Amino acid sequence: MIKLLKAGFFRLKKDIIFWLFIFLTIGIAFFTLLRYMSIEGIKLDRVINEFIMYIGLFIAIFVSIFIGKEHSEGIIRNKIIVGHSRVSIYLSNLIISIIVSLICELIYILIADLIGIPIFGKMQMSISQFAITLLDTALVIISFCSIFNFIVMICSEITVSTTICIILFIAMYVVQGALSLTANTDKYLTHTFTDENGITHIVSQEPDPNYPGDEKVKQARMFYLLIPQGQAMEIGNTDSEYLYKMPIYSVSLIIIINFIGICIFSRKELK
Amino acid sequence: MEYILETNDIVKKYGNFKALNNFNMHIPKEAIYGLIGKNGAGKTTLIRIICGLQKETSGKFSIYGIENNSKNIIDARKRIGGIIETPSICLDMSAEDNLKEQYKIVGLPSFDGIKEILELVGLENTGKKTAKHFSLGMKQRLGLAISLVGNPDLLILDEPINGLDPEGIIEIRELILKLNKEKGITFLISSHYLDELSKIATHYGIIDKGILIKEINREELEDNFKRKIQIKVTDLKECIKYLEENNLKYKVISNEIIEIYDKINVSELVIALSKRNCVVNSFKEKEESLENYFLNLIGGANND
Repeated sequence: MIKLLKAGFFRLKKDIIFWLFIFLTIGIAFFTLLRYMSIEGIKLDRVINEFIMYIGLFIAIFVSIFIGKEHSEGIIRNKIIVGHSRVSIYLSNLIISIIVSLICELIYILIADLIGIPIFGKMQMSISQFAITLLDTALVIISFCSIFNFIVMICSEITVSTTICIILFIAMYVVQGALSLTANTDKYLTHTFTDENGITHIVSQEPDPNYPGDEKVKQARMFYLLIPQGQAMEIGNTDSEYLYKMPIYSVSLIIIINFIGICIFSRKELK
Repeated sequence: MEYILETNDIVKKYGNFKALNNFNMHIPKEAIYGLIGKNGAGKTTLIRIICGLQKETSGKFSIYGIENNSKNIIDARKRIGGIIETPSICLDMSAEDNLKEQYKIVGLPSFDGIKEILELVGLENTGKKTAKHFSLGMKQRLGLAISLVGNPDLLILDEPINGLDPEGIIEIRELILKLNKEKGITFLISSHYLDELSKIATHYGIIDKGILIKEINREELEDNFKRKIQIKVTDLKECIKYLEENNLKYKVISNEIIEIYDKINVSELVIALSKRNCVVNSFKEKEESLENYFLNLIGGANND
């Protein structure tokens, strides 16, 4: 597999898509900083966790094109003919996707930190919170890479796999939005008023007739956290209560998707 | 005899369709084995199975004596190179970078020898030009160069001269002969260009509907080739009468031309026919081509 990784990184250096994504990441970092500079009360934490909310789209496009080319140009065929195993081919492509995606995220965080601290001040979250946020971010990225690598390795047509990856990301975005509404539904309707001093007072609380029920809320929360885009949005919200639960969902998804992907790819008939 | 590649009753089914049917093939070491068959005969299916791209339904094969279901088959494949249908090249990289990529895949420690391989296939002057700007012939040659990385002992070429101009075809032919002679590389070549194959192959396997109809070496093939005489006569009826009286095999081509398949004494024929007032205006001696041999064999197999 080391040989495959070296070959992959050699091709990466020469690949225009890779460099385009690096420059795009740098551009997005600066754009985000400029955007938030004009908004009052923004914390650095918010800026740092912005990119994770749409890195999934980047990964969908990059993986489907870079890895997809291996199918369309017959590179996978070359690798099998000279004796590389299907498992090592699958995993080496996954690892390359993960490393590229993590590099992009790291570049974003570094730029956001270096330029953001003088503008927004230091981060508000504690070191342990930052550490778990970084872990969650890395696992979300690995989850996205696992899903899109799975699609590309199973589907030999680059156009089809690219389309599926992009549509899947959009679908994940829409579904997590719907699930989030249900998952964050309050059991009670709270009526309040704000006095002349700006203090909010609760007048009354009554059960919300539209509340879907504890079971449905629990299910929505579970599926919401299972979808990588759901986790990405939670990280982006910066004060999520699920930060310590999310790794379990991510690791489970990563193991299951890659196990199934390797099994299918090992049996796939190639042309 | 040492065989580099042997197949033993290989069957490959796609649903109910049998692409290969108890296929048995033997490729001797240092041979140039020509695999001949019509479109859809099963040539590419066989090559894909040998290269590990697809799995056989049943049967076995061995490469360098290592069976396909052995764990060591991966080691055997490290000594193979190949082009299957289309050359596998990175279109966004130059010829040199494509070879460097293959060096990395194979795991060679340095890039020594790249220049020599490029010179061998005639791509030494392509510079930084990316493969997407190459002609079809250049892409084919780059594919061949890539398959040579790692000094394989067995090269599997599926239609290697497709898309090449006559000069390119000659270059590839000479390259194959050179590699076979100087480096002892064994070749398995599938091709439709029978005349071209007949110039280089030392062994032939003729495949039809997934079955190996005939496996033959060059010497045996040449013995099998029928020589014939084609004559143009003034009186076809008398000529036919004479041939039938002497139990000679013939075929009427037109109302003046007749082909005779048996060995005859030409002088005796001409004298005998002239006594019957039948003049021989011309005669040609023709040798059967690989093409005709193949067509007759397939036709015979279909009539069985």
